[in-house]
Amino acid sequence: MYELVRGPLALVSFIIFFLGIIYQVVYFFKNTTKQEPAKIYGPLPSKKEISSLYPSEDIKRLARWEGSAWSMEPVFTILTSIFHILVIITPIFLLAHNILIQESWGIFPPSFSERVSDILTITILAFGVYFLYRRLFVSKIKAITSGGDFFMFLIVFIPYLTGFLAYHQIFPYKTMIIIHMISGEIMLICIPFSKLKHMIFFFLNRFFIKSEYSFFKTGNRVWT
Amino acid sequence: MDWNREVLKKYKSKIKLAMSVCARCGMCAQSCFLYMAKDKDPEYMPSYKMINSIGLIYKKKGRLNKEELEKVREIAWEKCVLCTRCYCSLGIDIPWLISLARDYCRLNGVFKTYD
Ligand code: HEM
Ligand code: SF4
Ligand code: SF4
Repeated sequence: MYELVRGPLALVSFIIFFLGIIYQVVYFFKNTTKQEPAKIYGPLPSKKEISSLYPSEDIKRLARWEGSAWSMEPVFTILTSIFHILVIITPIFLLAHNILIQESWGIFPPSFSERVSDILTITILAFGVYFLYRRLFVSKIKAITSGGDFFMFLIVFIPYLTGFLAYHQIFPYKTMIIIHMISGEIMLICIPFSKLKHMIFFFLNRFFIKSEYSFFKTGNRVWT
Repeated sequence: MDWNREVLKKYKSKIKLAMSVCARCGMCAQSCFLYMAKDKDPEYMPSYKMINSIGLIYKKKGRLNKEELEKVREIAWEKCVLCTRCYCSLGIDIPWLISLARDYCRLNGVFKTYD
């Protein structure tokens, strides 16, 4: 069992994960089109006329700031940013994971000390409690929560919880580590095909879609 | 021609995508002036309106009963003015999707009445 989960199943889940991401990126570009620049007939208005018609850059910048999550919900924005960084870096720089990589491919990626990883994992689990609290008790979140959100919550947090329990050998180690590996593989497979696909579309939407909130104003594509 | 199907078919994959990308995070709430003006009533939150209008139409494959249709109409006209000021952290175009719900309503003979 252990060998199966560690070897072939892990490989399969990584392949599905990466192919899934490629699929979603292709999907994005197939479903969006490059916006043609507006056709202008007749003489262009002068710079002065334009500036009297449209808000200045300063006003626009202020409006963007006022409308953004950073100004409206600073606490949640900071917390969720920390959570997202931890969710990604903790497994990547985990010593135990990287030892497995070394055993398989002979390279040893940089790793945190076990103590640091332990603290990061506890922080992630604490975020889990916080998100659960929001889903259950904050009325605006409650209004848009359905069963699927709790299901995805489990998909995301079980790998971290079981990894933590396995490391501390709180329950039988062998069972726990197998559950940990299977649940982690399920999570990887789920990312491109569930609401976790926001991981991919966050970057696609915010960099490639023409919008006042597109990063660096690089976006030039539209959905319609 | 089945117009309901036509609207849905044309934008089906985009509606589906938006519904599944939405992380249900509630970050769009405060960006809607109606949500703020209505004492933060969750029913005025942009994502709530999106999920319960075009999202419902998609989920039901375009077959809504009378009450559902009336509820969608109420959301699409009375609860959203399509001012396009909402901010979604993930870049979902909420007003465009709610405007599709308006299209759907119009095609079913339901729209805003001024009385
Ligand atoms: C950077 C832009 C992103 C934003 C604004 C964003 C937003 C969110 C929000 C608001 C939640 C909901 C938390 C809740 O349940 O209340 C969430 C959950 C989550 N996100 Fe992101 N996300 C982003 C990118 C990513 C990326 C790149 C990943 C890839 C690892 C990711 C993975 C997750 C996971 C694992 C969850 C937990 C699922 C849950 O419990 O509902 N996110 N995200
Ligand atoms: S901000 Fe975007 S992702 Fe979050 S609930 Fe609103 S629509 Fe959904
Ligand atoms: S477009 Fe609708 S949901 Fe968005 S801010 Fe305006 S009224 Fe609110």
